[in-house]
Amino acid sequence: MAEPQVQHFDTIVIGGGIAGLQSALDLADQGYRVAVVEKDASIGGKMIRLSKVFPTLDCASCITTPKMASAAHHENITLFTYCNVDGIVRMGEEIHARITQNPRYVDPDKCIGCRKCEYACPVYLPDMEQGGFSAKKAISIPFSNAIPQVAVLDAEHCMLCGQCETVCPTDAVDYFMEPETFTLTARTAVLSTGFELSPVKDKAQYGNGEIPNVIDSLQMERLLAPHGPYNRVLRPSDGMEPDSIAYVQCAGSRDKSMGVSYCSRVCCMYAIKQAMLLSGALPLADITIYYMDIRAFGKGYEQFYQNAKAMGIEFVKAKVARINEGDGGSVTVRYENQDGGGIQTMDHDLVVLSMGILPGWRPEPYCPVSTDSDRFITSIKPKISPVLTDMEGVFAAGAAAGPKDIVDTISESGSAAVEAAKYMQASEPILETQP
Amino acid sequence: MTNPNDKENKDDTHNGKVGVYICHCGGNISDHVDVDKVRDAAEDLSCVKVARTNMFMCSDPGQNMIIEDLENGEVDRVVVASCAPSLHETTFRSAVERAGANPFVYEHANIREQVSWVHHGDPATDKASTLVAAAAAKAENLEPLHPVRVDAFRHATVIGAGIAGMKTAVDIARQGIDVALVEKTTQPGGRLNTLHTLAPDGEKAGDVVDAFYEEIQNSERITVYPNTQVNDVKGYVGNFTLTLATDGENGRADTTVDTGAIVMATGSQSYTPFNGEYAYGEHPQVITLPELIQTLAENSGDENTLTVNGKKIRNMVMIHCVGSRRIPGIHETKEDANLNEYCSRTCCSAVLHAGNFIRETFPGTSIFDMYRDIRTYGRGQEELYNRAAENRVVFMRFEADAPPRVESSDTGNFPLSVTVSDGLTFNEEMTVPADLVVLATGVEPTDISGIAGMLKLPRGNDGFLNEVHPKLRPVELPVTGVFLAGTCQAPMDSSEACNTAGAAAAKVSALLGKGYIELDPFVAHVDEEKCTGTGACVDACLVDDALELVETEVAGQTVKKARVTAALCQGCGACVAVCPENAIEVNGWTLKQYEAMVDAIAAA
Amino acid sequence: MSDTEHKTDGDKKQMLKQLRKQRKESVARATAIMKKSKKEMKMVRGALSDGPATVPQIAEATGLFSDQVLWYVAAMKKYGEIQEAEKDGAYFQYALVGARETTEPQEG
Ligand SMILES: Cc1cc2nc3c(=O)[nH]c(=O)nc-3n(C[C@H](O)[C@H](O)[C@H](O)COP(=O)(O)OP(=O)(O)OC[C@H]3O[C@@H](n4cnc5c(N)ncnc54)[C@H](O)[C@@H]3O)c2cc1C
Ligand SMILES: Cc1cc2nc3c(=O)[nH]c(=O)nc-3n(C[C@H](O)[C@H](O)[C@H](O)COP(=O)(O)OP(=O)(O)OC[C@H]3O[C@@H](n4cnc5c(N)ncnc54)[C@H](O)[C@@H]3O)c2cc1C
Repeated sequence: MAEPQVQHFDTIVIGGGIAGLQSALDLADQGYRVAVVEKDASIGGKMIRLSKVFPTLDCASCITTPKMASAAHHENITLFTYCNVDGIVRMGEEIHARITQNPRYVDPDKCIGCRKCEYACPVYLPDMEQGGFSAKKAISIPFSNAIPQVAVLDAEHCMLCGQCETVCPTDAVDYFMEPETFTLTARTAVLSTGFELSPVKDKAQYGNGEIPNVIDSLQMERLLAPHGPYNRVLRPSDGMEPDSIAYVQCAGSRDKSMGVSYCSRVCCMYAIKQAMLLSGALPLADITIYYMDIRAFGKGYEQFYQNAKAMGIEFVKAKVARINEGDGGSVTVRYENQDGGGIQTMDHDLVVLSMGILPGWRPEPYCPVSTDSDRFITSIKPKISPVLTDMEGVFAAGAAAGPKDIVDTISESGSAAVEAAKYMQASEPILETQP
Repeated sequence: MTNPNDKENKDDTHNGKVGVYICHCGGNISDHVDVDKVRDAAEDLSCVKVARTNMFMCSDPGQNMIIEDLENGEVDRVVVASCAPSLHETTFRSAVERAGANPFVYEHANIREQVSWVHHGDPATDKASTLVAAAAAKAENLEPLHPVRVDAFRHATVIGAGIAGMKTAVDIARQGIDVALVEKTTQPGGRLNTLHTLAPDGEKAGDVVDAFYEEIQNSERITVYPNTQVNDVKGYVGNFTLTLATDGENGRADTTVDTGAIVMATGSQSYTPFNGEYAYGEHPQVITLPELIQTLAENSGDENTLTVNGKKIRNMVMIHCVGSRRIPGIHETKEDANLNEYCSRTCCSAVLHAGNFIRETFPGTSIFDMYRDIRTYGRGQEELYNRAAENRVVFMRFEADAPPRVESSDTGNFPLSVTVSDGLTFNEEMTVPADLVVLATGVEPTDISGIAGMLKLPRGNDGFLNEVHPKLRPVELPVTGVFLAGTCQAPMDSSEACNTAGAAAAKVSALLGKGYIELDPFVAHVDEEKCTGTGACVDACLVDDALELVETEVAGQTVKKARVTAALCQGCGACVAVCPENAIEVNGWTLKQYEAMVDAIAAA
Repeated sequence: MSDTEHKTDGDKKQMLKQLRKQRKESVARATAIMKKSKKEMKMVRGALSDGPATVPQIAEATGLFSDQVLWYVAAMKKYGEIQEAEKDGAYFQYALVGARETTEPQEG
């Protein structure tokens, strides 16, 4: 499946999360040809990995897959998944992106996604798509609604036993694949590289990620997802159905010691959402949210928060000072009650850390676009068009330009698309002259 | 405008070979519905040639099953049983189309929202089987249809020239589409015309307006209509006709504008406290945040202390969430029976921004900030909060049910006192003497009942316009061809308003770019041979101008026949129900198809 | 992406051998993981051979850590070997899926 060395487009979108997909769709619908470059083996970003999404509580995969599917099948969109961006530069009128296609060790044109290889493979590995709570094999389809549905072999954990090759009905497995590099050119680019959660291991007061039954919020999304690791909410240390669950807000945001002094903007709402979903899944469980300020600012968000309070979810205005391992798998939370109670401690069966939102990609040294003191991509016109970067013809959208929920991400992505289109309207169209 | 469906509808001799595809929805369906049983039941139906299941029908392998069966000729009609059609009907129609078939030989059965999410066990499985049988029976009788294609004006109208409307206009015009920008006041700029510098970075509000001002005035493609409101709307997507009423020196003048799309950017206004709310209206030294901002713009800044209404302000109290975040049972409803339950989103930052400005310019003025939650969520906003703490703004936290009390004071020479039970100091009662109390009033949508009524646009209880879906279609309104931008949707700051403006412009450009628009073919269709011109359908029709009686010549005689304007028809079927001759049908929902469905349900 | 298709079987065997040598470390790592999980999953299967059990009960019977047991249970459930059974207090029991008639993919 040799790719041509250089391929031409109107716009290169870096990052195939909801931001990148929305920008790509909005441009493609106007007739522009778009390349979407995604580092993971599937498009969809964080959103496809969530359970249900606030404020409407739609199931995330139900509203992400339509966008993924329409991008994948759009005549003007080409997806490049499992690719690294080695460099993005402007050369005259064009943006050039050097891309490396990582080897899947499976021929994407032959693989039919039947998962026979996965069943045959004898090597069980933690499935990070399920928060590490379940296993995958050394060769596997990334997750059940991944696009594309092509198996990926983890060469670092492959015994080269040949079983997958033997069972593959289409001879798609190829142990000898090598990385391939190629170049994409375009008139514009959209950077939509999203976010990562700040790592628990950096937070000593909260146990550096070593206390059993202390998990991060994305892991909780998986526990709540309909096709999650246990198909229900259990605490990971021993499979007990938790009776008392706590959320520690701003665990890694608004916290200079973590280098994240800003507010991560989505954690209040996702914690409230998860708390609501939990009280649906475990009607008898006590759910507590330790918070500093509840920031429910979007459309319908405040009502969502008040509903959660009315449902009996407990909101404790407190700063959590320490988290320790308790008895029998429990977790002890020591907090300073801001409502006058002083220092208190409380035991919970499961504690969720609402970790902060960090940029998903550092442009330096790959792309000469500036980042701010918060390390997200700088906007040069934050009031009139937050998507404008200091690199000509390059725009930013979604969490790459600062933490953001899905609603705000989607409108920003439309805005990035229109700015890219404006830029291209201003220059002579080069579409016709291309193969 | 053409309706290419006229001919094909007559061909009803065809018997479809139906393929049924049942989705597990990753457990959303299969945890409650025995999908294998549903498949087995479907296989037993005479019209069904294949029945299959998949974990996610919307995934590529799922869609590929459909494509393969169609390409192999095994089936020529498709039923997918999965989630609500609003989510994936278009996904599956386009899969059918990719297989080279007509996308409308497709029928959707909703076995998630209508089954697995509301029923459990055998009843769920039985109901799913019944819905699938009905869908298959209908599918067997489906005929290929073609979208209704209408020509579209490459022209859009933006209503409201605040920052959102201005940006929308500029962004659309730059895509080569003409724009009418309608503003009811004399000036573009909206709310920003009344603001000083903007949170969080301190840009001058005037500069932000100016960024677009010149272009909207000078662009060949943009026509600005100041002092103007929309008086009448006719037509449909691609082909609206608006009557604009402009107030001028010589009275009112009307202009007609032909336009393809409409963007609502009518913005918001500040909440006005009721008389006596925190002593507002009773005491001159109780003012609102917009009034403070106005004062700051006028203050010279030479003094050590801020002066308001000629008084030096030594102590100033700012109270958050006035007219926002109200809770049923705790707060009183307004006169219009509404409560403003929402958060106004921009006030926290605007308060802190003004507070910092005051502390940094007038160190002689102390600030006490009484809040419920500080919501500095956005980029650069938390810094405002931190800076306010460094500027020694004193924060006090109150609960919704224990708001601060503002009273005239006789202590010392302070005219006011504010008493609050402060959550940050063990709920101690504290009384702050003050020269000035500033109420951080929230925002309310501009009253747009006129235009919203004309266009039949949905609004929430709070009066803000409601989008189709906050994530899937956040800037679209349910009336096709009508979009929204900015704070007419919900409170947002100007960056966010500009983002929605860009998103709306992207949608308008994609819609009007081609010069024509394709609409769903599910519209009424008259069988001219059967129609006797009773006019019953015209009377029953719910949409102005969608159905009319026209005179035609038949065998030398002038007779009346019903005629459908496909672009206006909503496909509701009211006409079908009243026609004494059964001469009118809705494409894709014919009586024959209904009968087949009913028979299938009765047989199940 | 590679041209292995054009090679004969003999060539390929040779190339694979070469590759195994090249990837000696990762092959060894993977083999160790495989051996450990094979052994421990056998222990889990053993603990369930007399009937359904909870994670702590399996841990007790096998001497494995309970979080590790849960991980195996989740994995074996995903690949169709184990199913959830009755709840016992705050814990669910797990049972082996009959005799494994099929190795066909089942999603989990
Ligand atoms: C626990 C949790 C729960 C949440 N719940 C909700 C909710 O209920 N409702 C809501 O509105 N929001 C929610 N959010 C926020 C939501 O996840 C984000 O708004 C959304 O994912 C942002 O989309 P994005 O496309 O900008 O970023 P991402 O989803 O992060 O996507 C970025 C994509 O870019 C790719 N990428 C990164 N770097 C590169 C590179 N160098 N080259 C190529 N590709 C790259 C990534 O692999 C990824 O696919 C939640 C967030 C968290 C953490
Ligand atoms: C007190 C206060 C302080 C703020 N401070 C900041 C800040 O510091 N930083 C920041 O980013 N944001 C701030 N904002 C928010 C900012 O003002 C808004 O985001 C922005 O003004 C929204 O623009 P808009 O175009 O949506 O609405 P508006 O500015 O309200 O504009 C709407 C326009 O539509 C016109 N219109 C209405 N109805 C009709 C009709 N029927 N026909 C024709 N025209 C019509 C109106 O006359 C108006 O010109 C603040 C808001 C308030 C209230």
